[in-house]
Amino acid sequence: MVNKGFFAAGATILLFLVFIAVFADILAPYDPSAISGSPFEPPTDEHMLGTNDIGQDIFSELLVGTRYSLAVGLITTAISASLAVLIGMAAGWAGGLVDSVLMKVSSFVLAIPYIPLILVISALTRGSIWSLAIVMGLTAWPEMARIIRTQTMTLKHSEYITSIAAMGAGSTYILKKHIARELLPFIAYSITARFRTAVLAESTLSFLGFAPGIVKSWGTMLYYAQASNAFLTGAWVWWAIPPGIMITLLTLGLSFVSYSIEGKMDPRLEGRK
Amino acid sequence: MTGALRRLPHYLILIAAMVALNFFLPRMMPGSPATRLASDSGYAVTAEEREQILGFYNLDKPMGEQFAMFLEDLVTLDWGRSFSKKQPIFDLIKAALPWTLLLAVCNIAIASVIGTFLGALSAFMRKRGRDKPLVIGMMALSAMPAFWIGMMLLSVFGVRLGWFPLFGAYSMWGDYTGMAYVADVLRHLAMPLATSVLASLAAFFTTARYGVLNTMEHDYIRMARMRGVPDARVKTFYIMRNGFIPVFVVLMTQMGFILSGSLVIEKIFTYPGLGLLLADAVVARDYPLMQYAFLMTSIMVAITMFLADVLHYKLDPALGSDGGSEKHGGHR
Amino acid sequence: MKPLKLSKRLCTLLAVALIAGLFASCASPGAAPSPASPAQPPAPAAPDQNQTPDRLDTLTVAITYDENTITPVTYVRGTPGLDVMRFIYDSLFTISPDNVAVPWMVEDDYAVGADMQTFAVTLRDGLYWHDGTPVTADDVAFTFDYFKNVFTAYTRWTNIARQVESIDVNGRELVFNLENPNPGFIRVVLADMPIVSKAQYEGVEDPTELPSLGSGAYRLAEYRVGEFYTLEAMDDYFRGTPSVKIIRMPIMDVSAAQQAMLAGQLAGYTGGVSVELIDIFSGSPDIELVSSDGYASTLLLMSNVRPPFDDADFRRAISLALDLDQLVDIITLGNATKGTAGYVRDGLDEHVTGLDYTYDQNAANTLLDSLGYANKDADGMRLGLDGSPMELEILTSGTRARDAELISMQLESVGLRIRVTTLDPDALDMRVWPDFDTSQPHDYQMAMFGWSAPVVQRNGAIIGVCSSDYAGVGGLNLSHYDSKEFDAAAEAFLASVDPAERAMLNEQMQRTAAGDFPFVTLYFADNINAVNTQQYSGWVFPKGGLAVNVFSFLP
Repeated sequence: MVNKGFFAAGATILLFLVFIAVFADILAPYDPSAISGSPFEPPTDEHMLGTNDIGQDIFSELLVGTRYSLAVGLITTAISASLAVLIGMAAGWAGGLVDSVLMKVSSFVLAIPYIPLILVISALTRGSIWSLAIVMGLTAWPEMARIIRTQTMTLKHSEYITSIAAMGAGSTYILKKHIARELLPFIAYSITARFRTAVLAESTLSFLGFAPGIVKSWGTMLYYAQASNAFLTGAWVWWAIPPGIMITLLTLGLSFVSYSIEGKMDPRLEGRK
Repeated sequence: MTGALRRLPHYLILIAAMVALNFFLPRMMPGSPATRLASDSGYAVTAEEREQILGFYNLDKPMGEQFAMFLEDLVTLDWGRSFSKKQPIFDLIKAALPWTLLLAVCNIAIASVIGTFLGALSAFMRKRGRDKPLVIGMMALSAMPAFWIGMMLLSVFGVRLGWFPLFGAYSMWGDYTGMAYVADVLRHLAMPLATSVLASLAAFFTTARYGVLNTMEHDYIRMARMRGVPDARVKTFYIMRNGFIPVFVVLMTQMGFILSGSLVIEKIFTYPGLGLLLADAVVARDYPLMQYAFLMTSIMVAITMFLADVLHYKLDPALGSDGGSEKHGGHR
Repeated sequence: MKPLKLSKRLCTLLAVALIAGLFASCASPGAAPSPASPAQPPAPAAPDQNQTPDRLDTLTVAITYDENTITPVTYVRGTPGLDVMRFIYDSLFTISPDNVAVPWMVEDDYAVGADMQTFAVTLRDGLYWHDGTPVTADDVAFTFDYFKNVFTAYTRWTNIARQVESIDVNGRELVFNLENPNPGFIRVVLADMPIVSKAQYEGVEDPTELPSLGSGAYRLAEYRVGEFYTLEAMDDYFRGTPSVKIIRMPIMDVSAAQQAMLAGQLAGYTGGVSVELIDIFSGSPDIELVSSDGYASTLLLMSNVRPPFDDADFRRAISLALDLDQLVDIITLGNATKGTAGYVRDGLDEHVTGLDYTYDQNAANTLLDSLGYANKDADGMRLGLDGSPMELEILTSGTRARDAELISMQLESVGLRIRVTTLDPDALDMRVWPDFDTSQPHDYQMAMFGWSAPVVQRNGAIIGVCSSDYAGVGGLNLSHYDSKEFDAAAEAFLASVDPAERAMLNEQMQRTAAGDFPFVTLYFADNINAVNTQQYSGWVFPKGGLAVNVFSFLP
């Protein structure tokens, strides 16, 4: 019953964040772009978390930033997870030349320095948040694909699958009905990892100052906090910690949910209880 | 072993592809190096002068010819000079590489040992539902952005408490020798290392935990238990050994991220490694330096992958034995 | 069983330690921040305290960029590279702390021809290279020839050397002959060109490999790439023995330098103080802050050839909508001077009063209405002349993104829809100033930009940014402003050697440009320096320059 607790906690966190994202405009006390105070105000009754370097309300920025992180995470994860599942299962099941080629491609993509690569491409495409998300999606699949391939290979040679195959089941059928099902907990787990990586990669790029255009994201908040020496002025307590906590909260919520799914979807693990 | 060696050509092809990519990618970046050379002089540059500057670095030659020259220089180790740092690139990379390797190797060593151990531990504790705090702790840790962990460590232990130096890899005029030097280096290494370990711990933890949980269900483990093999022996020899194989897959894939991520960590702590060099080169549009820094990073990743592969073959009995290779012919 | 139990305990311990550490790092921020007290600095280079006040053994000042080997042939950037190069290399004249060109390597009596085409100077006695050999007039002549004809990879020195047609050498006397009259020759050429040793450079294939060898007050004793420089005083320097024996210069960026400065680990650094740290710096008893007028500008470029900015009235409407006071108050926290439509800021000789920008949103609205942009969409944003939605783009790089953000809000309040695009600095240059060749067509509507102090300070500076001779004297005219009236005045100005006439023409040029709004100069940020007066008291603050300069260490 541990898992139910995790699921409830994770779902609560995620729903809470989705709620914030949807109703950010209503919840935020100010327009996060408006100059609603003087620069560098510490927390007051008017500004719960003070104001940033140009007098915008940090709390409002924090709420509206939820949208950006969720959107980038969703798009990136959708793209990279689909690619990873397809490529990983194909390579693991087919083996031979297919496996060899796909794994060569994946190890190639894996070995490319990730952050500079994204930097180049987003600069070339005159970046918007969408192109950033798509680029991250297209480059983030190999890790998950390789692990899924390994798992598929293990399953392929397991007695359970070999016996089904011996009974005459077709590959597509086995892949869809059995392997995919067996892999589900792992896929769910990996999707969290992808989502986490996407959120973290976005915030890292924004933090390094490579955010496209003027966006209110948690990463850009941290960038400006750092750029404005918040660590020396003491403003980091209300300026740098909250965005970090929001990022942590988002990925933690996802991890909780996937952890509970993992137990639920694996009958053998569940059966042991 | 032979299985692993047979994969050598794969890595050679990989490295060749990296060489090509590393030549073309930096050249696709917006911004011309001529601008860098002239931009701070406060003078406008005429077209004729621009040609001069480009000619100085062969950038006016056709792409194909540039590539041929690049290959020749690469092989002869004549890597040229950095635009932005005006230093031989080989020297720059030679100076930066040890620091990145030190950071990465310590990181992998510590994170894999702690992560795997905690992962296995939590798997064994799962039955009694006592793994919860560990799992939650790891999840929270993996949810934090590495640069944020770094910022926090820097501001608490560096700026506020003053326990650790804020930048660099050693004291510049310390003139330390022997153990004092080692201690000085370790003191500078502490915060970047702590940050990268904390950031990469969860990957090892998760994988080891899942691997052990999976292995525990295997029939031969059940058989061993039924045969009355002592519990500890089953755990250490049967479960751990097989459960940890996925850890090496992670090790392989993590190296890329660790080296890519070291860019951010080295930047935060101004740690003079390859990542910082690369970051500076990207900002300065320093094609040659970027090229070789990328290449070194890529090659290091490829080498790690190869080593991990060799270990994988050695450790996985199914893949390691001759019969195994036969059975898993598809695994290349 | 046994080993496993042990390891379990170990693991639990580890986990507890980890989590505790985690909480510690998160919890301690709750405590009241005490930014100025980073306990006991690791002090890689604490100064020796037991020194006589006159002569310090060592002083540590940070350099904010790696400037390579700091020789003229490996020159990287003006600030801080050139400032530090002045410690190591001399020039015939120098720019004094009062921002005047004064004789340095040459005798005080020098002769300028009435035609402004011949400049006669005499090299002083007692000048030595750091290897002990004397500096000769031959070295000087060689330097100019070398950068004009041999080593032309650096446009900075080559452009300077090309302004000299020939040099006559007679003993210690040098006569510079110019092709065209040049009233600014001493400042722009003689006070800028670092003199190099003929014996060192002559016939060398790759001079960039050579070690630093100057005749300045300090020699470069050690350089570790990306780490530090060590400068060592030349005790028998002809301008007097430098007051600090060893200057250590760790390479760190401005924010690290500011941290180290507050921790007492540095006596100074080659950068400005971030405005948000002014209070903290001034709260520290050891640190002195000195603020002076800055000459580097921040501006909003508008493409004068791109609709709707090809209409001077539209550009005027933009300038009316901009609240420069807000920019100064928010971006620089008040530490800046508003820009002027006449380009040249007050405090400079060529400044013309009464050319200030007007901020008047109503006037901007009326003007935009009258120009045909009266129709608005549902959001109250103006439509284009053809009735379609209009979105104007501002390009910016990261450092000026906040300026662009504020400007976009200001323009939106007069109904102009703005999109801000953040690019990296080079990508921005590519679109605004392709290949640094102004005669090429550019690709932008509006862009955040800035000029460094020398571009703003020099005489006739406005010509560079407003003349339509893009491939020549108008090489900085990134807006592609094209005015016959302005060009005529500029031509007359350049041909004139009469100070009164030049002043009159200068005012005419500024008034013409101020009426056409080729761009909007937003502000000139103040130059704020911080030095530790406890560690060293000899600081000299040059006008518009860095406290870390060679005059701070000369008697």
